[in-house]
Amino acid sequence: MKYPISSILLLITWLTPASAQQSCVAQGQLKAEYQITVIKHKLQNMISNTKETTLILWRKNNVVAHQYPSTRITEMWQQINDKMIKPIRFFNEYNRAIEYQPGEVVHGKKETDWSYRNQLISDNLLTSMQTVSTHGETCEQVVQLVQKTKKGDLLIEWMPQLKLIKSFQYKDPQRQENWQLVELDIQSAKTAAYFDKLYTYQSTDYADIGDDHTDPFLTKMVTLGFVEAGASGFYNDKGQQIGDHHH
Amino acid sequence: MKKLRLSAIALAILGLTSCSDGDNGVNGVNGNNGTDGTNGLNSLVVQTVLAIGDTNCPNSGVKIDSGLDSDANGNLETAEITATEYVCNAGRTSITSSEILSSLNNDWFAQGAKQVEEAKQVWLDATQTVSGKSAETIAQAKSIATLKGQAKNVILFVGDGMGISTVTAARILEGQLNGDNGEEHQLSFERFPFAGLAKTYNVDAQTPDSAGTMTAMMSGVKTDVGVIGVDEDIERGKCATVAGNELFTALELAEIAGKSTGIISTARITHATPAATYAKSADRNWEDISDMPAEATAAGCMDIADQLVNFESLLEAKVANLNVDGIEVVFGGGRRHFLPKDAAFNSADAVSSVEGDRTDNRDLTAEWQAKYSTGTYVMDQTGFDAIDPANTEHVFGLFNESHMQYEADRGNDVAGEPSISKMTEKAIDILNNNDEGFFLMVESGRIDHGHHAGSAYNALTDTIAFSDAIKKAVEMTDMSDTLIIVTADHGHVFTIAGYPKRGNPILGKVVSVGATEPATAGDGMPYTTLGYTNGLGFRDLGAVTDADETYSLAHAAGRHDLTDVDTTSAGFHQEALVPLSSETHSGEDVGVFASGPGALMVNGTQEQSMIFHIMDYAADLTGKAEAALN
Repeated sequence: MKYPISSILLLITWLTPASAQQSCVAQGQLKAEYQITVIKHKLQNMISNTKETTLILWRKNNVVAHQYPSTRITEMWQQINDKMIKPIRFFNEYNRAIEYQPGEVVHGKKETDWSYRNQLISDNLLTSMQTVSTHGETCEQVVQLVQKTKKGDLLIEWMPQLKLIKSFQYKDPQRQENWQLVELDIQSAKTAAYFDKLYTYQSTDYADIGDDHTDPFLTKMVTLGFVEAGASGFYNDKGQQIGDHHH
Repeated sequence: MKKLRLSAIALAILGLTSCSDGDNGVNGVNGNNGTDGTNGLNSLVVQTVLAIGDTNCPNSGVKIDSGLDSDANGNLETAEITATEYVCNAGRTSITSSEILSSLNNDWFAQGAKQVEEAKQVWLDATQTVSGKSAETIAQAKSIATLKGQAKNVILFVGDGMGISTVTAARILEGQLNGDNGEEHQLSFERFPFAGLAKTYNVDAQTPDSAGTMTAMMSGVKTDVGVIGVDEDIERGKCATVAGNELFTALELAEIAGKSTGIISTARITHATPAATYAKSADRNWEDISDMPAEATAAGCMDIADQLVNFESLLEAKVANLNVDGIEVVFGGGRRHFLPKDAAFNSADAVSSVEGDRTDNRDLTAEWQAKYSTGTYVMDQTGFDAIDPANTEHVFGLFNESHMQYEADRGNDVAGEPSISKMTEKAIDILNNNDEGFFLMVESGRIDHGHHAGSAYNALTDTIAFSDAIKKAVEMTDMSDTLIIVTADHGHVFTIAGYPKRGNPILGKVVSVGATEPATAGDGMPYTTLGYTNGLGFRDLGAVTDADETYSLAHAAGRHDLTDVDTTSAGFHQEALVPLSSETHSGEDVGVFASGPGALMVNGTQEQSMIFHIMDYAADLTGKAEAALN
């Protein structure tokens, strides 16, 4: 079931009104597709470099995945408990996966903030922002939040019941970044199918990468998946660290 | 001119003699006495009796130190000694008949002399140094024959990836951790009386992998890379080629012979090295059924975890009229391969949302428990500690979902894991309950992983932990009936380079002899003693003790400025030359260290498969297995 974003609010009204996220989506599952535009200004705005990419957010209970169609890589995080988050990297082109241990430093960062991966924005950042307005109720509620800093300005449309960003804008003199939710799918079958497909990939424990040099995929690992053009979310309330671009 | 001079002299004399003599004066008064001088220093002499064996007086004597007591405290301090002399006793040049008799005729001396003579003869025979070819052949055969079956117990320690340079660097690191220079230190197994080299190549590979090498060590037959317990006629990944090419292992022979058996690994217990003790597989990666192609399972091939749990029945099915009691001790990681892919089966310390990988919905831990109803399945430190060795017949310990932790990272485990030393101790305590003896294989699996990740710190600290386990085994066994062999399956491209001065921190930057600051290379930057030929290369991860974190980052092969980097920290990864997704094995020989019956057969440079034959001969595994069947 695919919806253009303009009809999201109408479509989700058929669901039973509830205050909890679990009630707004079937079985805690959803697919949210974002269009991301990044504009970088150079030479006093005389030259602008615009880059567009797509990120698909997949959720299924305590598992979240970020799919980057442009690089054919999907990052998954499993929330094991309050303290442990397990990362898995799926190489969609090769039907292969590399599993990491919870608590490991991946991309130079130790995963401890589930909200950041699950929502694309950390709770810390959300709570540091000012509420401008609130529209709608229950699942269709949208809260507009702003934060102005010396570095730049943030403007977010936040859907608290779905724990989902509807739109995001960041602007400073050098850079402008816009995220727009363009499609929301709350039909569990499609999400379940995507996760099931990922789980069929041949998985290798990260500690075993060196074990088998006859495996063509593992020998190519050195050139795969370490530079990710897309973004994966907004972590904290410090303007200089808004995006995580180290994939 | 002469006349004029004489005249002048004459006039002068006349002048002098013209004065008349006066009266003598009165003597003056004596002056006052001067003040007394200060007392002089006492001279002290100290005599010290020297015992027999003294350097200066080997036959005892007296040392005489003398000097002035400068501080007048009545003692002659070292700084006050101005002369030292020795009066040594003469050595004894004769001995009485009674003394000779008491020294040479006591039981202890006679027994020792006999052992020395026998050992000398065996060595001469075994190394073919006796003269006369026919006599040599006869004597050699005779002496070697006396070794057969002398080993009641056999322990094979395998340091995965523990090449020669790893042993050297770990030796230095342990010595330096003890506060010494390090180079003079010895790891526990370096004190073993016999050592040799093993050639590690696989039948189809110059640089080997663990599957092929461990199959050689456990079965006595070199085979292809990547296959477990089968000979070179196998085609990797082809289930149909397994039948007829299976090899018996030393563990299986020991089991048939009635000995107790055990396997320990800090890697997954289904990983290549431990798997080669009990499994037959066309691919090392077939650790559970989800790792296998459908055609392989359809053709009847079993995954490695399944083979472990059903080891007893599989062995009995292979040999007619055989009744064995199964592997007594299994300690390691790899729980994921024994559990269904269902969150309902997650263990208390699962680190995945679904811990198990099995797609056949079988819980092999439950199946094991059903087979061994009096046995104990444990999965954490608490369960391990509760095992009573005296009353345990079978134990199955799976302490991690995947590999067990690096020794340096063990404290971070969720539910706690025993050390390799504690697992070895507990295993021997259990296996010792059998009067027929035991066979035990202990693998330190993560030395290899530390190197693959380019972390000398992890590789070396795991090697030191491995050495501790071997030390414990030596303490708990009698070398007169226990053969212990320590070796590696292969080495790594790990080097000790540059010209660091004696005692320079082995994990540090090269500081040249006579220098105090790090030496610099042609690029003007300092460099480390330890390094890798290939791999992901440089990392500066601070205090991070898990080497595998390097795999989440892009490679950084080549030179880096280490000026402000603490290269001795746990999170430092050495530089590498060639960028690869992980550091690789190396193809050079590995060391083999041996103690106990048959240990002398470890010498020179041998094929790696020889290790099986030495164990087989020393314990007569084949002979005793055949005897048990008849």
